[in-house]
Amino acid sequence: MENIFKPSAILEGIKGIIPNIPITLEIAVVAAIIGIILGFILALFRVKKLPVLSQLATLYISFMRGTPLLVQIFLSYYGIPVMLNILNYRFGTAFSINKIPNMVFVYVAFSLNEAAYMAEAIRAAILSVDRKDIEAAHSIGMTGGQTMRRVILPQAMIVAIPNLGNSVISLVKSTSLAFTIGVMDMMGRAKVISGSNMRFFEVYIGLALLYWVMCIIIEFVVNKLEKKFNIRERKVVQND
Amino acid sequence: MIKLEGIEKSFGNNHVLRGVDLTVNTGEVVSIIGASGSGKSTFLRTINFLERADAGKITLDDICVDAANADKKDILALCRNTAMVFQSYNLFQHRTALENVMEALTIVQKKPVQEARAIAEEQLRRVGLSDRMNYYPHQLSGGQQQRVGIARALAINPKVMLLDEPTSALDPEMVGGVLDVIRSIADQGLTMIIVTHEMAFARDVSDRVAFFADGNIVESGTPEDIFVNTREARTKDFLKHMLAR
Repeated sequence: MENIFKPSAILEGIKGIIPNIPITLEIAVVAAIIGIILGFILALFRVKKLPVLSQLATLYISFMRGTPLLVQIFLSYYGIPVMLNILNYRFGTAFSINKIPNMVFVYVAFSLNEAAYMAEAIRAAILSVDRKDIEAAHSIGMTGGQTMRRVILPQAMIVAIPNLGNSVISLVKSTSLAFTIGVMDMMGRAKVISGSNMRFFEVYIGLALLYWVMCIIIEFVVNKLEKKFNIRERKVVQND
Repeated sequence: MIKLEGIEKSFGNNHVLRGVDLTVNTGEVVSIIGASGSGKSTFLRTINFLERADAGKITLDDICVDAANADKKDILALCRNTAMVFQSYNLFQHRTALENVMEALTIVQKKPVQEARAIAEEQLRRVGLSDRMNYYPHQLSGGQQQRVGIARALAINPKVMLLDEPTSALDPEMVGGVLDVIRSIADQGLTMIIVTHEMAFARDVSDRVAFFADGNIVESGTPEDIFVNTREARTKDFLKHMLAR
């Protein structure tokens, strides 16, 4: 029986994978942060219906959501060196294309992909803010920027949190694709371990459990944030 | 003094305002009455550019704005010297009553928080809400929300207060309280333009009443002129309708 399925190998697998958790987190955190910033800018282009920029944003979001992330990772992996070569050729710059760490391609691919999804979540959240609040802001003489900061964003954030949370959870799971270009994240580590001890099923059970726990923790944090910002759950503070 | 000249507005093929003129002197209270869809609310909203008039001139003391060519600076100047009370209150949903009133003071007028808070508390007291300052809008009744809306408008210390059907969305038992608050403000000499369906109130509170129909002012004069010595047939029709309800 021990030869067919060895439960202790699950634990060994987990122990072996844990040191590589930071790589996975690094990809997720960098992509989430850049994704939110870029996504917000893209969302603004679309909400404000800026000519040209709005259409470009729509095209970009459509492409990013309409092509597989794995393909985008390869586009980044093969495309960035080509583009640097073109720069070198055209402008005489001297970018070395052999010394780019693989993490850079991963950051670029994941951030750009995440931005497209975040943009749609943020756009929907901004549009959900009641027109009446915006009219009130206008009527008391707020500028567009003041209205965005004081009225739209605080309310849009509450709406956006669950969607952004889902997006981050799906991002964490997607990081497992990074190993395809040789990044030693949790997935890459699991491949190495299972390849050497030939306990594929056991190691991948351990890997699955680790991803699951990470996602549960993120979900818990998102729920807490949601509660914290939701005014309808706030108690009245009496002042005497 | 606020002076509106030749205000024009169309929504597509729908010509809503057809060259409306209206002058309101400082301290004067003018009510605009008329059927739903006659353009009276749209007219009020062109004053602070919630609706941008296609043509016309808006003069508020030394601010003079040509609607067709108004830039951001002109619009801000008008907004910062007027205040609006909305039909559906339009309070900031994520802020308490006190924060709603303080917002314009701290963010737009850049007053220190302490001073803004003192003004806001005073205005909320004035509308009878000293015990509801830390409530969120969804925790307040319609009448209370509208009183917060009035306090917010008062706190700005506007040259003109614009009231857009302030009691139309209220439950009947709330109307009286809100009208009393507006009446007490009117009595203190604030310049006001009120769009309303409350005929008795308009008659009682106004220095002048304007009857609006088909995108223009058909008849205007003292409450006595409009309600008793009505000249225009259309005004008579409308009043008969309203008073028969």
